[in-house]
Amino acid sequence: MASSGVKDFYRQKKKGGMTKASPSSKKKTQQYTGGASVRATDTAQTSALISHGSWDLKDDFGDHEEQLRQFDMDLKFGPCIGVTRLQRWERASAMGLQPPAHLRDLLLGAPSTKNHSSSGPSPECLWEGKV
Amino acid sequence: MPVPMTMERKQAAYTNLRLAAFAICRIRGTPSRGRSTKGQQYSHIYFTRLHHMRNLLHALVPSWKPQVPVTTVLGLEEGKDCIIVGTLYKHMKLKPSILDEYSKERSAIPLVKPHNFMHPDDHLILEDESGRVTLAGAIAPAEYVTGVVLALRGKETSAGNFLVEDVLEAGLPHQTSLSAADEDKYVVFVSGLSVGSATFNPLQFQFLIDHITGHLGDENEQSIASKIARVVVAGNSVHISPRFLNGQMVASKDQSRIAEPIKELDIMLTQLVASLPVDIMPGCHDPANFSLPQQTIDDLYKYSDAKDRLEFMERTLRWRHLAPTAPNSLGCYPYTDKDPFLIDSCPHVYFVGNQDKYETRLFEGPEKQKVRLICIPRFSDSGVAVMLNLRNLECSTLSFSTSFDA
Repeated sequence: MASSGVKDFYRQKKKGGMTKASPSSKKKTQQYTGGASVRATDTAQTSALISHGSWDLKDDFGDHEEQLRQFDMDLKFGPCIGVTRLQRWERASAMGLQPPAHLRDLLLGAPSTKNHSSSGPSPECLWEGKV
Repeated sequence: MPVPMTMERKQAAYTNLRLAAFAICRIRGTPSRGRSTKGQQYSHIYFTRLHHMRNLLHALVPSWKPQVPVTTVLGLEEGKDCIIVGTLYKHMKLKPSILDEYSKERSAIPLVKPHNFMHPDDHLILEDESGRVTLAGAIAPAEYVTGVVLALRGKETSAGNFLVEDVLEAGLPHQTSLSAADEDKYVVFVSGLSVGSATFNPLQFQFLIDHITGHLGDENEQSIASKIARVVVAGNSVHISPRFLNGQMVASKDQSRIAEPIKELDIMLTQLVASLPVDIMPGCHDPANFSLPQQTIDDLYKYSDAKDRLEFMERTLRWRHLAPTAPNSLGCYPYTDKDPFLIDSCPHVYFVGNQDKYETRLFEGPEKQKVRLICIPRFSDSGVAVMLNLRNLECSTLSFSTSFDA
C-alpha cells in the first residue's frame, strides 16, 4: 500500500495554496488507488473534496471521522475489517470493553454509505473497500 | 385367553437450549456493491474466544498462583517469573498446506494423507494481541492443538522462548444439578445409519425400529421399550454416492436415484416418529448446510494424541471449547460477535457420533460435576445403538444382528 496515499485520508490543514496542492494531491490519489482494488466511487470522493474548493468545510465532520478512525485502529476492541463500526461498537459494549458512548451516537446519525462526499462519518471501517 | 397388557410410553419434558447461540443473525449484504456476502475474516472468532477465555483465566489465576504477576507477551522480561495468557498455535511439520495442492499435479485420485499429522518436531507457540512466543518446558505438544486458550506460568529464556513450569486450563464449568427422577426413562442414541450405502442392512434398522416401537419381543422387552422417551439420530443417516456429488452432470436416469436414500430414511423414520419424538442431527455426509463444525473429536485425533476418544472429549470440556481446532483445520462460519462453541455450563451428557466403537465413561470434575461421555458407534457397521437412563445417567447398548452365525 502506498503510504503517501494515506495522506489523502487525513485532511491537510492548510490555509490557501489550494491550486498548488491540487495537481500533487491528484497524483497521490492516482498512486493510491493503483495499489488497492479500484473503485470509481473512491476516486470521485477524493477529487470531490479538492474540486469543491476549500479544505475547511465542516470541521465537525473531520473530527468525528477522525475519532471513529482512532476507534477502528484501537486494538482493544478487536479487528475492524469485515464488520460495520456500529456492529463493532455493539460487540465491544457486549464484551464489557466500555467503548466511548458518544461514538455510538455519531454512528447512529450516519447517513447511508452511498453518500460519501457530504457530511457525516462513514458507518464502515476505514479499510472498507480498500483491502 | 389372556388380555394383552396396555403399556403407555413414558414422556420426558424437552427444551432445545442452544439453538439461538448458533444462529447467524446478520449476514451482511450491500447489494449496491454487487456482492452478496461480506468477506468476514476468522480473526473475529479468535478475538472473542481469547477475550472470553482470558476473563475466565484471569479470575482463576489468583487462587492458582497468587503473587505471580500476569503480563502480555510483549511485556515479557528475561528471567522474570510471570504468567501469560493466550491462544495456542501448534506448528506441525506434516500438516497439509493449501500450497501443496498447487505444487503437485492434480490427480483424480485423492492423495493419500497420513492418518495423523503428528511429528516429534511439532512445537507450540502462545499468541495474544501483542505478539507470540515459542513455548518449551512442561507442556507436551502432543496433548494440545491450535486454538486452545491457556494460562502459563514460567519465564522467558535467553533464547527468546518461554520456559513453561505450569499450565492452567479453564477447567470444567459449573454444572446445574440434575433434578431427581423417581422412575427410569431412557433416551436411545443411534448414529451412522448410512441408508443407501453398501453396508446398510435394512433388516437391522427395522429391528431397531420394531424394538423401540414395541413391536418386538415379549412383555418384558416391551415394558423396557415403553420407557424409551426419545430417540436421537446423531449424524450420517444417509449415504449418497460420491459420484453424484462431484459437480459433474448427472444423467437423467440417475437423477431419481440421488434421492432414494433420503426417501428410504423417510419411510423408516415415519414409523419411529409415529411412536415417540425423534431428534435428527446432520452429519458430515448428510445433505445439510455446512453449518456446524463436524467431526470435532476426529479432528483432535488427527492433530494430537490421547489414550482413547473419551480422553479427547474430556479435554474439550476442560478447555471449555467444543471445537478448538475450528476454524484452523475445521470449517465453520466466520462469526464476528461471538464464539458460539464456548462451553459455558457443564453438560450432563456429552456424546459423539459415528465412532469406531462404543465407549463410555462417567467423567467427574473438581466441583462434583458429573458428565456421561458417550462414543456412539456407526450403526451400519456395528448394529449397536446406545440406551441412556436419564435417572442415573447409566449407559447400556442395544445390539442387533441379522446373521445366524454370531
